[in-house]
Amino acid sequence: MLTNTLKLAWRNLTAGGWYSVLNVGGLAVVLAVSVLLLWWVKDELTFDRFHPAADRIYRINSRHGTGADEQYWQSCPAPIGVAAMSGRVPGIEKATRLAGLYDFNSLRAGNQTYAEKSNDLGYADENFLDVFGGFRVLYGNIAQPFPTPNSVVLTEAMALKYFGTANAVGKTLTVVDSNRVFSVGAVLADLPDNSSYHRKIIFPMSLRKRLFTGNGPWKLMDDDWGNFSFATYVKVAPGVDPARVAKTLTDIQNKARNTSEPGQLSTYTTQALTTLHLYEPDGHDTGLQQVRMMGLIALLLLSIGCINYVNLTTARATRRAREVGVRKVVGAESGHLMGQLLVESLLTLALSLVLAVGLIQLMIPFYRDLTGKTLGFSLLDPQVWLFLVGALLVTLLLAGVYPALLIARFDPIRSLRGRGVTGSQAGLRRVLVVTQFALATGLIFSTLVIGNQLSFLQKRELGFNKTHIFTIQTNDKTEAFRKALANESSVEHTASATTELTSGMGSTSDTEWDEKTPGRNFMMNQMSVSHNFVQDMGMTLVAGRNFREGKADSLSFIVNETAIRDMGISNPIGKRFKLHDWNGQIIGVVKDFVFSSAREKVPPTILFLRPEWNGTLYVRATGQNTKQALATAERIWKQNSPQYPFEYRFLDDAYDQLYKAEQRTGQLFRFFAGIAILISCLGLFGLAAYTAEQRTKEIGVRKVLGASIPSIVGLLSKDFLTLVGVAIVIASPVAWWAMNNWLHEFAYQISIEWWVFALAGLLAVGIALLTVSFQSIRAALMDPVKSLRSE
Amino acid sequence: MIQTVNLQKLFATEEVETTALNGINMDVKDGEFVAIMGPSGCGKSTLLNIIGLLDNPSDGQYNFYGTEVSKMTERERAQLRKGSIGFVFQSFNLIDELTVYENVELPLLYLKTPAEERKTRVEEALNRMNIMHRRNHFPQQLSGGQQQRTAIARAVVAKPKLILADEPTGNLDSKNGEEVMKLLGELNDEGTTIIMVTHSPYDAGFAHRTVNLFDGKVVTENIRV
Ligand SMILES: Nc1ncnc2c1ncn2[C@@H]1O[C@H](COP(=O)(O)OP(=O)(O)OP(=O)(O)O)[C@@H](O)[C@H]1O
Ligand SMILES: [Mg+2]
Repeated sequence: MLTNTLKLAWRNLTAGGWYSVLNVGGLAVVLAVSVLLLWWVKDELTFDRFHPAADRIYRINSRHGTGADEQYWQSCPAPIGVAAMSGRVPGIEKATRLAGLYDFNSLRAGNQTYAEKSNDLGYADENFLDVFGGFRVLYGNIAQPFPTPNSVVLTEAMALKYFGTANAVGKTLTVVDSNRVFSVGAVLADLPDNSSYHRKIIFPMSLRKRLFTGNGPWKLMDDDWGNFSFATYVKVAPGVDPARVAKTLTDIQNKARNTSEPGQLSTYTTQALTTLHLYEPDGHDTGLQQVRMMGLIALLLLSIGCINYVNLTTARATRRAREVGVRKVVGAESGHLMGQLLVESLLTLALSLVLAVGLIQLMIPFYRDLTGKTLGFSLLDPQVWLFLVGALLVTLLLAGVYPALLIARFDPIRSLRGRGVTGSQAGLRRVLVVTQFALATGLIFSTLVIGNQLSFLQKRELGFNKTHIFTIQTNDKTEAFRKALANESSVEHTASATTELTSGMGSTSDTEWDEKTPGRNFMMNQMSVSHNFVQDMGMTLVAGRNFREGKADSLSFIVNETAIRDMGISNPIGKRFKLHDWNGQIIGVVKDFVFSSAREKVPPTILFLRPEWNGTLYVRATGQNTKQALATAERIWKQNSPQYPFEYRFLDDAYDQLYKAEQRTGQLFRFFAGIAILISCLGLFGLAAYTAEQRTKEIGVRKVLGASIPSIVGLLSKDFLTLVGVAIVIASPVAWWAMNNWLHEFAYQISIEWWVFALAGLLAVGIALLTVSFQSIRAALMDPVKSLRSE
Repeated sequence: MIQTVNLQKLFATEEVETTALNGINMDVKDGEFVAIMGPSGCGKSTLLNIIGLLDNPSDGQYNFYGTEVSKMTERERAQLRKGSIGFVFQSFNLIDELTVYENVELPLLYLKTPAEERKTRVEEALNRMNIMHRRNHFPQQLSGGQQQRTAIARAVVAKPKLILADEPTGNLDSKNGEEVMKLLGELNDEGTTIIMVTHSPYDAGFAHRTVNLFDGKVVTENIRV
């Protein structure tokens, strides 16, 4: 019986010809893409869960200010970590601190020098491997990764890069700046993709302590309450309420600081390790939104694929009605037929799956590119197979059961006359086509809106002129470099500032002005610049004057418009302003200039002259001579700092980087919308073919009676176009609503205009028309004598 | 034993209501060969479908070998039908995707006959209908006569007590038609009850008696002498 069933299923599949090709091909594409998507979703949802006690590990976040000034940071001052690690906070089993490393970035192994990205460098407390527990140690001791104060921990990739071997324990690495030599204490397996910690060269926290030079009244790093640059993690005992731990830490701070200004104190909160990746410190689910969107798209694609399958299968059922009737007459029960049809579906799906696996293989490089994930998807992974088979079963359930049920229930007498399909099934098919095209139209619409928003962001007024500017990290040699470059003919302007604009400025709440409400914790960005920065970057002063060269303006401030608005200062020019212990006055107001992602508003910002803080040189080349300017800069660099590699970055690129997330969303959407539309068209193509086939006789008769070809094409296409029209009407408001929500994520957004609806609708109709008319024209051109005989 | 009492069948569509059968009383004894005749549209096929348990009457009783079946559900009818009735149609109704052998084997598969026995019985039926040499052909590769012989082989393979034939010679030339009628005659001689719808008085001559229908009613019955 089973072999018989399988044999028949196979014959049916091969007899289906192009119908089977559409069915199998469409499903394969959908399965491949949605499995990849769901895999990505899974990856995002499992971030940091590879640590064995992940559910007991929390990061301590700090909260500053209240009301509109409220801010959450994902870090604490060092003493909070000290308290957490002391063993005196009830509920905390263990604690550790991680920090960024900005003290140096050039390392030497052998006689090769490497300039590392500061994102790859970090500090960690000596116990960090033990506290997290999930980082795999290849060589070295998990309990003591830094056996001496001059130890460093590397990932395998870094060990290979420096020493050509993963077993690098004991080999030495020199920090170029200080000539201090570090020996490798442990080598970690490369950190998994789904780790939110991904530094690759880790120095002991004790090194940071040694490099600490004091901050105001605080002489030791571990006493410094003013520097919030330590990501502090605690592992609580089972059953402990993390909020209690946070409360204790806040109390410890309040006692230690004993300040008269409670507004300056922070409150500590906890955030579970497993939520770090998808949630902001303030609980906002930014990351989860994209995960939801991708999950939704995967489901949409799967349902479009299922709809195709149901449509094509039930359309074909008309053809099979007679077979089903005969089977019933010779003794088949509905159950038998169900089984037969399900086996057929299963066979189709299994074939699709095989094809999908092939497609996935082809798409993996593209997937990596698109998602920025390096590892992850391998067909050797049993979990991948669980996924594939799961997707298959879900599809079978969604798409296989209904047609089988439907066909198995055919009335034998009617089916013997070739009339299995009743009006209501054709009705269902209409509903499905409408659904499918509504989804496709919605995706087209969304793609257009996203595209518009992206180009809007790209064309957005930045408030300054970023063309032909590159920046160099010059640290304490900025002024010397600037002087050397300033007179070159290929260089138009040189200026300097604390950091490169997009890499983030420091922020401070240590400000005072006359109208300030006492105790208000107001955060603002601060950046030291050279006196000509505002002017030569092409920024616009809306009030007051620029800095003057020399010492005269060392207590003068230029603030941006947002700062004036948020602080509530009227007539700011000449107003007293105090930043840290610099008591001075506001001399100018600069038009807001953009330096952060489009989702955020331009924050309040203050500029001042503090030349010793200016570690970044800005060079604007004259239009045609950018290459020459770079070459000159490199030559001068080589003369002055031969021990460091020459590195530069164009501001244009840096700003593109700011929009990378949005760019990726746009790319993904275009891709998925394309697939969805393609699959929908496959389905429509198949349905149109069936309709044409079913009406072959009618068309023949009409032609014999004198109908023109266009009238027949119209006759056959009209029905489908009506359905697509209905789809557009349904999809537009829903898509509008969804896109409006998406746009709300941006501080700067377009409004959706009517022509976007029109264009999306037109595209949907155009695509449908193309698909359907191919079949209609073919049918209309058929020789009427032949089509009559075929009956 | 087949007995219908005042059998009614109404077809209600949106506009019209057709009375296809209007009070049919009919008895068919075991081993009988009955022909049903009448003008087109008088209800012959409808009656045969109900007798064959493919459809339910709208009203009246139908006793099928001692069981009252007129109110049965489709599922119950299917159970009862299985293995006890063989059908032969004017348009053969073979499954195009199956070979001759597989078509004939089908009823036995649904009866879950063991493989060994299945093989013997299919071959027996094929030999008997003189179609064995075409066993691996698909229906489209056969002549009309061969297709109908395959259909009869399929109808008899499960050894049903009743064979229903709806214009079995309608699509065949006279030579092939004659052959089919002889086969049905032989089956009847061996004890199978046969009810056959036909337009051909010649074919009706093979039956013991002829029931004439008109407008859903039995008008006359001729008994062959
Ligand atoms: N499914 C149906 N729906 C509506 N009316 C039907 C249906 N089936 C049959 N009829 C009607 O019932 C009547 C009897 O039909 P039936 O097919 O039994 O005739 P017949 O005697 O077999 O005719 P023929 O010799 O042409 O095959 C006809 O008037 C037909 O139109
Ligand atoms: Mg008939």
